[in-house]
Amino acid sequence: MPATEHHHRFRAFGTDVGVLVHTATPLDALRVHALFGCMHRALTRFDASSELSALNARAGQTVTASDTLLRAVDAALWAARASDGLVDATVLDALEHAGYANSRDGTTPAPLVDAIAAAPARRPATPRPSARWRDIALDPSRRTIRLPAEVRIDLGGSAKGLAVDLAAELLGRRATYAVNAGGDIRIGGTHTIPRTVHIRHPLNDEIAHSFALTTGAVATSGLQTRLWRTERGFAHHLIDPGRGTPAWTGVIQATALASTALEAETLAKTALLRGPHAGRDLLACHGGAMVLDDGSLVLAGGLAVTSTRAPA
Amino acid sequence: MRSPTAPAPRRSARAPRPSLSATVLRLTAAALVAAVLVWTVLFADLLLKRGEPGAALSRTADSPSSQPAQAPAPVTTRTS
Repeated sequence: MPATEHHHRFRAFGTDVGVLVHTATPLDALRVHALFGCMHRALTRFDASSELSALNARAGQTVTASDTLLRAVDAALWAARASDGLVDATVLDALEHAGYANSRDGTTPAPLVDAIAAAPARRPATPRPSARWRDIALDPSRRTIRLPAEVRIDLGGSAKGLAVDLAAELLGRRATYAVNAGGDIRIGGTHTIPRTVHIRHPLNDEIAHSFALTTGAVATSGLQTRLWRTERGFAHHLIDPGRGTPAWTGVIQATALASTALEAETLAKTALLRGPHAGRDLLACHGGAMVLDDGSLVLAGGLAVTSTRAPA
Repeated sequence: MRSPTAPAPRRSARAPRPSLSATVLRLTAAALVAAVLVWTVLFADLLLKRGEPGAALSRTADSPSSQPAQAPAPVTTRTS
């Protein structure tokens, strides 16, 4: 009996995607590759010809949308509701103002240590009082979306989580599988064999913690990869919706466990935006971990009880 | 010239009709040859499939009762 899984790697959503699947042929992994390619083309804001760009260009109008865009906008709205408005897709203007107007794929991020040293006073992020995401009209029966006038959206993290979940649906009947899109992971299969999950530390790039997971999702959100210098100081892609600027909360990376990648991605981002105390309380439900400004690791919920710390 | 509707001339002599036993014998022989051919093809196909590296894994993947030989590879989550 063959013992190893097929391992297929590619890039999508500006990050590395890895597919591990226990099957006889590489066809399943190629189907996942095609799924990610299709979703990336439709949902990227960095391509003027994408369906998302067309939607953003027609804010204030009712637009007929594909299944992919309908599901992605629905996922973004779910994330906004679940996070009480902290994970807000309508912060695109603030994101561009912070310096993230073009793709940063392939660019070297600024040093995280320097950014932490120069960061302003830490404080929890807050939702935007106007909550414009509530005014997005999604009608699946008519297959239409209407953005409020002068509102544009970025589907980044939630779209990536959704893609991982849809890939997991494709692979669900296989003995074992794992889909890892830049840290957003789904693990499962018909066999109940635990798979080891490592959490990488953002400051020293070493494994900070390890645990075993048989089925479910893990996602990590942090400042490290999309971090750059501006004339006003350092900036990153996790926006505090209430202030419209990059969030400096005292947490530089958060990892969350959940049943789906979309939920884990939303929990991780929300925990980081809430800050060390409220973030840990949030992660306690399903389990998670946070790395704080000083590099310390905080474990939360079941992860602190059942997992094992990786050797130093 | 004969018109198109005119009857064809009768054959002068008929071929001898085969006996019933000869017909049964021929049919049985043909059926036996066909059966041998089919079983030969099926057996060869089975032997070839046994030799394929993915044959056992295909059954593994569809059958929850069997287990992969090794623990699945670890994965790493990090800031993306």
